Amino acid sequence: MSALRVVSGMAYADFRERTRRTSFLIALTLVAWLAYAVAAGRISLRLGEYQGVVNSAWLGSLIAIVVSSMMGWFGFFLINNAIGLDRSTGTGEVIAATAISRVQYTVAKWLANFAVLSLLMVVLMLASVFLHWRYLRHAPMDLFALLVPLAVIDLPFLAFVSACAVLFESVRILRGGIGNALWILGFVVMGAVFGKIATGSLAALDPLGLSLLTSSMGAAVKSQFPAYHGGFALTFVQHGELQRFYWAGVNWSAGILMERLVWFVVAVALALLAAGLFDRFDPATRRWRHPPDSTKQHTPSASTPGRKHEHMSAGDLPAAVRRFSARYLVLVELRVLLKGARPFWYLVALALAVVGLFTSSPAARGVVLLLAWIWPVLIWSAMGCREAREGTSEVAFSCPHPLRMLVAQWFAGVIVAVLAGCGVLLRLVSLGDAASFGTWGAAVVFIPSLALMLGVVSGTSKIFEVTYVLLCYVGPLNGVAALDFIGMGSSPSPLMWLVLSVASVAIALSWRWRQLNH
Amino acid sequence: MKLVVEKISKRYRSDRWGLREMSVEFTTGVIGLLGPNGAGKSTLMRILATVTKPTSGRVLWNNVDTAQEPEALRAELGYLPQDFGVYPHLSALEFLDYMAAAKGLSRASARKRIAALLELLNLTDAARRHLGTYSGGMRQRVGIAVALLNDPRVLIMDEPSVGLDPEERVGLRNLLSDLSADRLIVLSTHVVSDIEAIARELVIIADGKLVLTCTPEELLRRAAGRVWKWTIPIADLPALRQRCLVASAVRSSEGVRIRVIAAEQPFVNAEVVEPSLEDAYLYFASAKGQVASA
Repeated sequence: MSALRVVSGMAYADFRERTRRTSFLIALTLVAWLAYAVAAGRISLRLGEYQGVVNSAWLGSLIAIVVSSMMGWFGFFLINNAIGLDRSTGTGEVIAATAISRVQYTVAKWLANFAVLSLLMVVLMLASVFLHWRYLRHAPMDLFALLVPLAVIDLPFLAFVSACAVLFESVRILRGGIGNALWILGFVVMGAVFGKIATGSLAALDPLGLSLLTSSMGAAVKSQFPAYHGGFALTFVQHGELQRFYWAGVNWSAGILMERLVWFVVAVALALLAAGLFDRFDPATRRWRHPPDSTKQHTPSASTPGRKHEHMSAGDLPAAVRRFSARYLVLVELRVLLKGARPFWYLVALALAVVGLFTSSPAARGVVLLLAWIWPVLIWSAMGCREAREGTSEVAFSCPHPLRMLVAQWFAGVIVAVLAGCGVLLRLVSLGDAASFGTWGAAVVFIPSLALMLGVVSGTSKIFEVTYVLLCYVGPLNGVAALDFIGMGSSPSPLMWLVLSVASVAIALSWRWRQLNH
Repeated sequence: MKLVVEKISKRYRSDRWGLREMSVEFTTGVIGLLGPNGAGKSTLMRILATVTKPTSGRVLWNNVDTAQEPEALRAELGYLPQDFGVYPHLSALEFLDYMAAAKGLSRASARKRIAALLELLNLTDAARRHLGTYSGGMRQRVGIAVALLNDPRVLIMDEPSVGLDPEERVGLRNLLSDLSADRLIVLSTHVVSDIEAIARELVIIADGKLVLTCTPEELLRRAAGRVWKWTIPIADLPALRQRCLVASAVRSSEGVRIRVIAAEQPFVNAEVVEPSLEDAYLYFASAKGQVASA
């Protein structure tokens, strides 16, 4: 079988598998809604006090920007389980025993990822044409100006995201929550850097293609309104009537096309790099291994004569005394939560607590507290979903009071939050800062409540990891008051976070109850 | 002690029926649940274990509806699902401690019981190792320990011998036999020999429906005079398989010693032999059209 056929066959099978999942339908709906929101004017783009006249070029470019922003995080999480699925289903070991090479495998996975995201793009292009016809009846439809931004801006970026997903899955440390958090942070930074109007060599380094569009738009505003001094923002809110400028779109030169095509080359290079790092499902590279020798050493092998269990007898078992203890249940839940953490994790958590204790400036204390509460993100993200992840649901759900277990899990999460933030708490107590103490208490309750709710409802740790890191970035770090759950520089409202906590726990419990009664 | 299944049906979202109008009654002893793949065995086990609810019908545990009051059964239940998962970062000791707390055991009692179960299941030496390093058989033994933690009166085990080596299977059989004196044990399996010596009653299901409940002796009686053995040249085996249900074929220096299930003497040299429970099950299944060929 030719290498091309191997790669295309594997990519096609993977593509079909993943486009039949509910998550793909959700992505499709989200993409269509975003395109609608842009066309209907619910999402708008403003450059300072100015906004473009809505025509085909403006609509196509705006959809391209919104979709690339969305694909950067949602798209990544949609596709970054291509290798993981083979690993968890055991298919990987079967594939590893075939003649397929590492390069063929990772390139096939990259192609499958790219195909999944590209299908979304094709749907989006069709939707754009429809939406243009529906909402922009006054403007003549220029298909070239409408669709080329989507193709030239988004497709290379999707190729890049697809390759990054394969790379992250090929590196053990980036496979789980650490990789998810790093990607989100990297993407947010990338958006922040290239969201500013960048030109020249910096624009060429922008996989999102944002700077290409914003620099062209910026030049158009400047030529029509010399008072314009920069600024670029996507917004869900209309800020009164803005002055309109005319923009005919980017002049798509061969140089620009080449600049964008380079991202395909980068994507292929990343897929090849992933091949070099990919473990080919070798169990010896897993954190948990089954070394045959050590297993035999610890467990009498089949050939060991006189094995005890040949004479198993249930008669000598001590009686089981039933006496429910909430403390016992919370303690074991806490152990399960913390057990996977390595010594390094505890050292950093301890260091952050100590620094929080000795930080006097309120602003610096806020940053330390934020770091202290971002650090356990992977501990909390297992809450509510580890039963589904590790396959213990059936056993857990057949226990006498499964909802009690969920409540105990929540308490354990609160204990983690208290311990992580205890340095700052002691400082606040010593200062007698009652207002900040209230905010601290609300956050301690809110974080595990959010984790529990998202874990139970989604059955995966990814949603909390993404949501929480974004929330930390947008709220406390960027000072968006409505989302600042630790009250770092804005007026805190602990009551709102407590209400959200109660609602989150109620949703988690009712969702679990529903799971128990399906 | 009585677990009564009354006309239960289970329909999945895909509109596929897992069970249809099934009624059966379980009392003390080992009940072997047999049936081909997709027959609905695991669906029935999950309903009995209160993990899922029937779409219609009810399950009564000592006259209490388990859908209305699942706690009544759960307090007395030990369950080993087909796909038993563990937390890989925990040791067997810690995982069992966790499950003991979840099952509402006192801490002191849990410690004693866990130590004894680890000893009983030959896991003491590996008790402090992370479960992520365990082999499939060792994990399965941990699953058996979890099921037995609360000294259950009802034990529901779905394919408990999966991953166990032959000696461990013997050990499990002996253990279940010991436990069955005053407990209700429902055991689902594909391996008929696992229940041959210990099952008091067999429940055979196919296509989500109850096909037969009987004792092993009754099933054996049905197959009496219908199991044949003789030796044939190796070359004749493929043709024979086209005509008859071959239960086993063992190579020897003279050819292949075969064991065939047939209502009438299939070959002039064939001699009738005592059926095993597996032969009897195969005979019954083929008569019901469940097994096309062995």
